[in-house]
Amino acid sequence: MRKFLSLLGVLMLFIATASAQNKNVTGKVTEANGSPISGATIKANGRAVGATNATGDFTISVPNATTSIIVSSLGFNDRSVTLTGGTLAITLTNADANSVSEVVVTGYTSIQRKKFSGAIATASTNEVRKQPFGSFDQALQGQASGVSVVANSGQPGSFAQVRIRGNGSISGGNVPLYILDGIEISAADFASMNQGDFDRVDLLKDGVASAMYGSRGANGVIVITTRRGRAGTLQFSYDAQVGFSDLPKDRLPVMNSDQKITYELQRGNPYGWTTAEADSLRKVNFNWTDALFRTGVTQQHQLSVSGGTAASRFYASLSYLDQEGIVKTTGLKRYTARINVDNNIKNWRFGVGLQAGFSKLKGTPEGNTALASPLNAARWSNPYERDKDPRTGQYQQFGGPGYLTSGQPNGAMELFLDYNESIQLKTVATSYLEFHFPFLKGLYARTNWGIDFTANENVNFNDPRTAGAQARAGAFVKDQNRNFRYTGTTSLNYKQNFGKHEIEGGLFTEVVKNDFRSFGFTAYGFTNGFTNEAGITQGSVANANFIPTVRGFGTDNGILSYFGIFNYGYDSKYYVTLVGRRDGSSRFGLNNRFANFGSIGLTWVASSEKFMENTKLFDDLRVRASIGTNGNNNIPNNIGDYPIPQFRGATYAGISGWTPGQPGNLDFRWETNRTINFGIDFSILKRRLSGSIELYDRKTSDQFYNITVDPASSGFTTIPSNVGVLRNRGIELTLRGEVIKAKDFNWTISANITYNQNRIVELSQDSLVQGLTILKVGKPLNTLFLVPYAGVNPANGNAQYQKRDKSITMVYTPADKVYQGTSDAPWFGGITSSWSYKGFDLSAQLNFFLDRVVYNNDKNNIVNPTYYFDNMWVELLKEWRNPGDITNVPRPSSGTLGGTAPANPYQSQVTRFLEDGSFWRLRNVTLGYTFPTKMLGKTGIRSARIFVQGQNWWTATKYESFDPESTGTALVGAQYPALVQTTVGLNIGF
Amino acid sequence: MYSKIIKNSIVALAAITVMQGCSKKDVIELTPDFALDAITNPSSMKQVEEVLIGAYASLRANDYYGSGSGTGACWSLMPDVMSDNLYEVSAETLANSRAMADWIYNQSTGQIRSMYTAPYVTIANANIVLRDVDKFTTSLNQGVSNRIKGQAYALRALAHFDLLRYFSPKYDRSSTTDLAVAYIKEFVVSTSVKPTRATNKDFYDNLFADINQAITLLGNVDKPVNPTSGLSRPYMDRNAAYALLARINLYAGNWAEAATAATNAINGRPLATTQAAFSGMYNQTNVGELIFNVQFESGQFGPSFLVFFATSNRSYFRPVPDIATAAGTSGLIQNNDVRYQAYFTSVPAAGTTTPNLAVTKYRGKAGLVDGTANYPVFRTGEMYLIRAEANARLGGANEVSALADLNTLRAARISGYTPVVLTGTALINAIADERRREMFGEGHRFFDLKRTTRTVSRGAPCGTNISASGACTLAATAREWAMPIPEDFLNANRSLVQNPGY
Repeated sequence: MRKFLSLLGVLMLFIATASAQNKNVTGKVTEANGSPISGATIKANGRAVGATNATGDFTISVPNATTSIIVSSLGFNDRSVTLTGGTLAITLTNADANSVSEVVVTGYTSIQRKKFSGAIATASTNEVRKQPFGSFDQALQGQASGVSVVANSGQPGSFAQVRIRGNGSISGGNVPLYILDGIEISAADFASMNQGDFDRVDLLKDGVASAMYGSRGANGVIVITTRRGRAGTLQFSYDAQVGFSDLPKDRLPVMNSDQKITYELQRGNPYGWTTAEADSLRKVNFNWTDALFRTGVTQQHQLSVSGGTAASRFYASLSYLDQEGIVKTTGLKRYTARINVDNNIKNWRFGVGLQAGFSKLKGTPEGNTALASPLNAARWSNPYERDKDPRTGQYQQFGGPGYLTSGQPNGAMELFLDYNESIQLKTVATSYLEFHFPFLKGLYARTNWGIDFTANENVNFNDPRTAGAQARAGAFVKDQNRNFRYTGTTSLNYKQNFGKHEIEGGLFTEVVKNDFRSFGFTAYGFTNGFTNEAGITQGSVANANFIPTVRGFGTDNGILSYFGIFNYGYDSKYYVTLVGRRDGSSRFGLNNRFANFGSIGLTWVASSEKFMENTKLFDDLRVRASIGTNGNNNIPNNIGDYPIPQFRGATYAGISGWTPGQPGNLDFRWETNRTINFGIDFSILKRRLSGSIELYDRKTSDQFYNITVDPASSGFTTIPSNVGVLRNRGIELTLRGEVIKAKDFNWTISANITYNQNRIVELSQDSLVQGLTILKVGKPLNTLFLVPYAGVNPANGNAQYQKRDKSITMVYTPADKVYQGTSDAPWFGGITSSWSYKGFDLSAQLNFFLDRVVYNNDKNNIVNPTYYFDNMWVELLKEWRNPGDITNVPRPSSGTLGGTAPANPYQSQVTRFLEDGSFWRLRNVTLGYTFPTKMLGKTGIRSARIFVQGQNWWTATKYESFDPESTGTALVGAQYPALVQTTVGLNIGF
Repeated sequence: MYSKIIKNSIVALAAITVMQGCSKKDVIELTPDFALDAITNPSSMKQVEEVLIGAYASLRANDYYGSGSGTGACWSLMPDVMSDNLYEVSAETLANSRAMADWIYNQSTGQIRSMYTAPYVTIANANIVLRDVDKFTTSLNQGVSNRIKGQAYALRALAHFDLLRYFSPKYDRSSTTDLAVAYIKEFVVSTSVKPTRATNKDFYDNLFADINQAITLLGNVDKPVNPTSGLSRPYMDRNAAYALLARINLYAGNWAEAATAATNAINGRPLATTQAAFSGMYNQTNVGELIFNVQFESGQFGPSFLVFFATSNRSYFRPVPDIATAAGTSGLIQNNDVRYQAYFTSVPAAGTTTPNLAVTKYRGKAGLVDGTANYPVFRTGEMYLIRAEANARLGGANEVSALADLNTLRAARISGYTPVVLTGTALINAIADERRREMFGEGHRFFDLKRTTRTVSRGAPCGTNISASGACTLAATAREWAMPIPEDFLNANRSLVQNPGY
């Protein structure tokens, strides 16, 4: 103990001597527009000496010999300032995504970008925050090279399909891993999260970047860091947006009343209309789209506050989003709250982040071919029938209860009488504790724990008046589920510089456990007018069809990992990153649960070399190379969480039994992903033009694959296995140029373009046809496989097809199917142009997806001549009718024509329905004005900005539907298109 | 002092690591809580019996005797769809089974794939039972064991025979060149096992061995297989095994054996003779002459939905006028026949009021219209027809009993029936006609045509605006009499041989 006291004495002496030779420096730190920056850190001689206050002012004491200080603040570029002796006026510029001074956050660590060899992109948080999406992932579209974001639907709150460097798994999961403040959160589950709370979104793309998530990082990682508090006085911000959304242009027109009646008469008048009836119906022209769609109103508000002292800082927010869908009755309401607290006390750092979100989603069925989906009704209902009878105001049901004459359920009844509601409660809580060992500078231990809890409640009510619901007097389906996941990471880290050597490293252990439970029931007998549980009639022997059904399920899985990360730098020129790890997952066979992964990355800062200093071309030039492996445990859904053979419950005649449920595979093992990455970062012309080029080769082997087997021996048609190799190779280009950089006027263009080539390298069998698509070695995933359609034979109206030998035939055979391209665009990217003039800013983002084809089943549904009792595609009016007719629409009849023509059965797996799914889209346009600080004067308002923005205002495509943006190989039907939105917004800080 | 701190820190870190290491059991070594591990189970006679229940449940699959929207019902209604009993209604169909109805299926048709798979699920369950039942058999529970084992043999035979009906090009009993399908007697989950198609002879040998085992075992059981009172007979008892044996022998052309087995079955279950007893078999108000039915409970899609979407009264297919009409005064089944009321109801198409006959025999139980109805796999009517046909084909003196069976059956069905006297071809034709009446909508017609005339010739309204079906005839030489072996199973199992013509 005595030793310690004497040490303390020496230390105090040192401090005392130091202060004797100090000088004071004062100054003010502001943004480019004059707003003060509070909480900015001032460093001198490599250590923090102070911070700015709420007005941006600072006073520090530094040794007399100090000649410069470094000012840094999150979100701004660091700036080194030479001391002049007077009061300093320091302006910081906004950090841009590719700035070399920027740090990158990999979740476990943050590291200066220039030292990091991994391939990482950082999404512009401003873009993510401002775009009014119910699910933030949609706002990532076009933000970063190598990251493909395709909206699944325009239904408010629906998530997007996000792929980082292509699909790596044939049948397993391809969804990236989402990490929020160090813990895993459920992907595709963002409707209850507020992107306004996000501070950074980093996208980890290659082996070395995602190696730290070795067990789960095979599909890339999206690391979200939430906003943290800044020291200084309390700062409030209020952000609001109000706007409206509309239906995009329909490129698949159906017939109007006149056309439909004409067509029916041409097809033999199936309803037997008299001339008078037909003439009267021709004039109806009811617009089903107008009856079911509307202009939706969106509003969102967020109030946030941040503040604290150097020792303790916090950030808190509340938000509200109300987004009406463009389909009537649909929409999302969301309420969120968050608080983050960080503390630095002595050698301890600790903090918590708590977030709760509640959302209520009213939806409508989509992406199906069900008669009862209102979105299908919009296309299929005959235009001479109405939602409601104008004479009585009652729903038209001329085809029996709930039905239109054609046998199509009345879509308006399905939409307005039924309801479809999902309620979600989501809580994400994170906490960390860090201890810096006093005896060895740079050594610290950290433990980070968090939970992600989601509770869902989905209710689907089928009104007893609607089509098909009479038999059981309606149906009420309620399903509840909850998912609980905890992630814990504990590490011992060391970081120190020795002269020219920089060392940083850590040893980690991590545990992730996921637990899911669900419960649901379906009840009947809604005879008393109530549409909730109060309306249920309890079933009994007397009314057996009112007996409710109940169900429940549960599953869990876990991951246990041990890993080490080691970074070494020499002379600020050479950097090495090494990661080694061992991961275990509960999803694999006993002997294959654990697997080893590792990666190595090298960075060479070429511009720091002596020989480069003479060339004036490069302001910055770095060359990076990496190779690494990581694993995927996102097994195909139908395999379940456990690799053992299982029985599942089965009931017969009221008695419970067992039937084989899972074939199991005790040798099931990790899918392994190996990525090689080569990257160059550069900036030239005094940093006016900067960019990155990445080349990568991503090879995924031991593919999760359900091998098809003859069901004879076990009743199973597939057995889970690890066979096959899939490869993604590509090039990513990111450029950012300051075209004009003047005092008041700036023009910046940034662009990212990706080419990703996806190929199947190895498969369990030569090729495998799966409906419209084929798996074939040498071809990409999701390759469409269809018979080429060769128009109509003018002599007899038969559809013609092209055989493999290019000859034309009237006889369809699946043997003539050929490869047709893929639905996953190999070319995609985004181009953003921003202009600023004084307080005004204007930006436009143009995204593109090129060279993709998508099967249009939405069209197939209204072309199939069998369905002529319902409305049809307007082009069918050009149907072949007489010998000699030149047209592209074959005769509707399928039989032979008395020996003059062979049978003409309707065929759908033909290129007639294959369309170019490429598109260019003006994703976002924003015009904003930031009020100068002077103007705000003494109003008490620190900063103010107003803006107006538009989403999806313009789309160029040849695809014939509402919207070319769809996932999967086919647009199935009942499309809920992406919204065309316009909002005005306001940001105020005070 | 430093060393102490270092030591403490290392100990702390190690402790945390160990803590997480201990949780290996909680995190990595997980087992399902909502499914039964099949490595160590079934582990008791009770569980073996539960697997047998699973075998019965598999009969309910959409592609076995149950149905989906316009699909499935492969052995309960599809053979009617594929024959001349039904026509596809242009105005109401969703064309979900067009490929089957118009015989334009091929090796990549999805319905064929699921049709090939469904019976093998039943066989898998039966094989698990047969693998494990002896492990738990003692001198004390021999009767229990026999009851379980006998049913498993019977179900294994039933499912194999159903496969034969669709996938064998011919039904010849003794052919050593024609191929049936693989006869599976062992449950194996493996990617390397490649079963081969048995010849007709080997296949029948196995079938008879199984069914005879079932008959023997089910003759010595601890308690009745089916509840003695009740409105349905959801399990395969000894009578059902006899009924199956009779049907197999009929297909195999073993006339004498077919007649004997039918007699055994008839002795167990007399013919239903009243409207209530007959209709009651379909809406579960009377057990009637049921020998074995597949039980469907509320919410489990019965056979109806392939043909008649009960809950929305939509007829994808309707009976041809040759069978019956809304007036009830023409066609094979008229309104003086108990079958008319049990099988049909006039359900006009949406938006019309014109009377129009729909197949409503599986509409629902006891007046409900939810499509939940049992499917009669075996009933006594068929046994009469099997015995009649077998005797008629044996000819000579046997024609007398054949005629007697025909007249007995008709008398039980048709009010005011006057017995007829027929011999030779006329008798055989009359029995075939009666078979079409009696077994209408129960999944026999396509197979009956296949084993006799091998032609389908659809009359009106095929090919008209009412039924725009493109195909109205199927020639005797057509490959479509035997279903193709699905392409992806053929690729997975190169030991399989494709049927001729595909």
